[in-house]
Amino acid sequence: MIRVLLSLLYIFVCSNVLFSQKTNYEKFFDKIEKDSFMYFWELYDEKLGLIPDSSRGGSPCSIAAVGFGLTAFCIGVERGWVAKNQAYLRIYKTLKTFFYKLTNQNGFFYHFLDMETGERVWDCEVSTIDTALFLAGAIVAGEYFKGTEIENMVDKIYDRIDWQWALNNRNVLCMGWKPETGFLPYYWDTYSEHIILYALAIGAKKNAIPEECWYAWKRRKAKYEEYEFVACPTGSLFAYQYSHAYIDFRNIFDKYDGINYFENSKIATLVNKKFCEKRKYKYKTYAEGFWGLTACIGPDGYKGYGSSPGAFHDGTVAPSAVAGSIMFTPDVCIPSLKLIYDKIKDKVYCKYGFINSFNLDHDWFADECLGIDTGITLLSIENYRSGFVWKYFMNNPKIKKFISLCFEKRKIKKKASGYFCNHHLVI
Amino acid sequence: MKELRRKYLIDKKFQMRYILYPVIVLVIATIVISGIVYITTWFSFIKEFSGLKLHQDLTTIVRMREYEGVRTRTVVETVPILKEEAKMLSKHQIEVINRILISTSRRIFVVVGILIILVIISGVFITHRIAGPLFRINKELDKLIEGNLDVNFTLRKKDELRPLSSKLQILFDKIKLNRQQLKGFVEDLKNTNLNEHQKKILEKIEMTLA
Repeated sequence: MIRVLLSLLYIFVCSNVLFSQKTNYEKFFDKIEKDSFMYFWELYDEKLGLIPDSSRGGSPCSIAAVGFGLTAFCIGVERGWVAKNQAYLRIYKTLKTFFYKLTNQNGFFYHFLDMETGERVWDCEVSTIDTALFLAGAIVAGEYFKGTEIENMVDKIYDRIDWQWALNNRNVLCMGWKPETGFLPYYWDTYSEHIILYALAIGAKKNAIPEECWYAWKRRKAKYEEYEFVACPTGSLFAYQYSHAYIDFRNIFDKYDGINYFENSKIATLVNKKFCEKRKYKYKTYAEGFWGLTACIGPDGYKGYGSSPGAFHDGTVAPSAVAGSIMFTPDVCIPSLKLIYDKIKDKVYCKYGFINSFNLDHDWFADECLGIDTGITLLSIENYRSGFVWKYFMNNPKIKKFISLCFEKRKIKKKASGYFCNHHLVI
Repeated sequence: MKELRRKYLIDKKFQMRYILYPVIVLVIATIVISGIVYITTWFSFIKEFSGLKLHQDLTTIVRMREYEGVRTRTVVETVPILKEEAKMLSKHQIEVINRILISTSRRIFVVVGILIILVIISGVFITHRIAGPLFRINKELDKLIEGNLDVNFTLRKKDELRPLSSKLQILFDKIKLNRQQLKGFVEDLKNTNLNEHQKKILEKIEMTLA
């Protein structure tokens, strides 16, 4: 009898602790998500419907940030922050600009655009990955506003892209093209953020690239202590996050070698954390329990910080690297993000959520937010909380085509400590 | 036969008035347009070449190179974003722009000065075509007032007011003819038997026609 009573008391206490933690985190997530959403909502330019790369003054538009923004607007509607009609009009304006006004090369867009005119800036390249990141965001909007002009416009933009052209007569996609020099001498040939690009190119209704291209890029396996995973060259976390914000890799396995990229990103996140922890005696930032190596602004400019051997790191971490992995490893990332917020929110939190990065070793804090990093923060948390982005993106027939061609479906055997329980954190 | 006028400033006051009008309009228009162009251009330059804008542009250029370097995993030399240097560069550029604007304005005023001289010279020739005929008509009318009906209103081919002067000439030729006819009638009447009263009236008419 006493044992039963004690068990009941234990369950009561545990459930109370869990409930209060969950409520705390819900509020925390609400704040981060809404503030991150405001980056896109407030910085959206009414004239052409473009969104800047950065919150700093004079920043040009980044088409990848626009993609994140289109998805952010749908999240904003779903969360009740803005009216559906308002979001619809804004998204429609952006899509009209992309289809009718912007210069395109075989359907691909320039990476950076003038916010006022929509013209290419500073001789930047026509970017395949950034076009894909824009399109991924547009697809979510198309699915969310299904049966409307938005969906039609997204299809038109998608169908206009000549994915085969971007192969440049090879079997891997080229990174970009410039009118002055032609194709860039760089290709998406090893694991990185490019999965979304291949997904859209293989799944396309028109000008799709052959399925074989999926198998043409290298899956370089890396080992870090007990972890083994397919690694991107720098070990920057964004490479494991951007495609995953749209494609739900849970329960699907690469036909090539049976890799589950969701699990792979989990490992990459854990490696990233461990990499920083192991260097906590040398770097003040890591010593404080902060981690999150990804491509971000640092004291000496924008760098591809990462945890791969030989990759650059100097104590600069990005909150978005941690937040962007919440969808994979919430039990690790949520406390880490909360730690950053609780310890130094006055220095790292602004009206658009977390600043891009900071470095305690240099007592340096970025004075801006970047659209893509703010975007991954928002999308990752929303996926973790509701699976919203995954649900709409994966509903697109072209994405379904890609998945059926390149992946096998099977259930992942969850570990006893499982990460998900009705999409909420269980600690 | 072409009548030559050697004097171009026939009626100085009249002609200068009509030359000055376009010159004043030209000067005012030049000042206003130059002012507007100068001020708007100046403020556009100040905005576009401000220390802040240059710093922002430098940051964007550097950032884009860095983005490309990260993506392509190529070494990009770190370029420090030089805020103070951007301010100095901005100051220097604004000074250069100011010099360019001032020299451009000077050139505009030199061109306008030449234009004014041309306006004055052409004004003299143009007003001469009006002032000349008016002077001529005035002179012939004075002759008429003195009782001399031998007037000549004929103007030069390119003169203004030619139709008016032609009509005046026809009118006064007719008056002259009528006067001569009247004189003839008076002479004829003299040779007839007139009473004293009629003779007195005839003398008065003769005096009027004289």
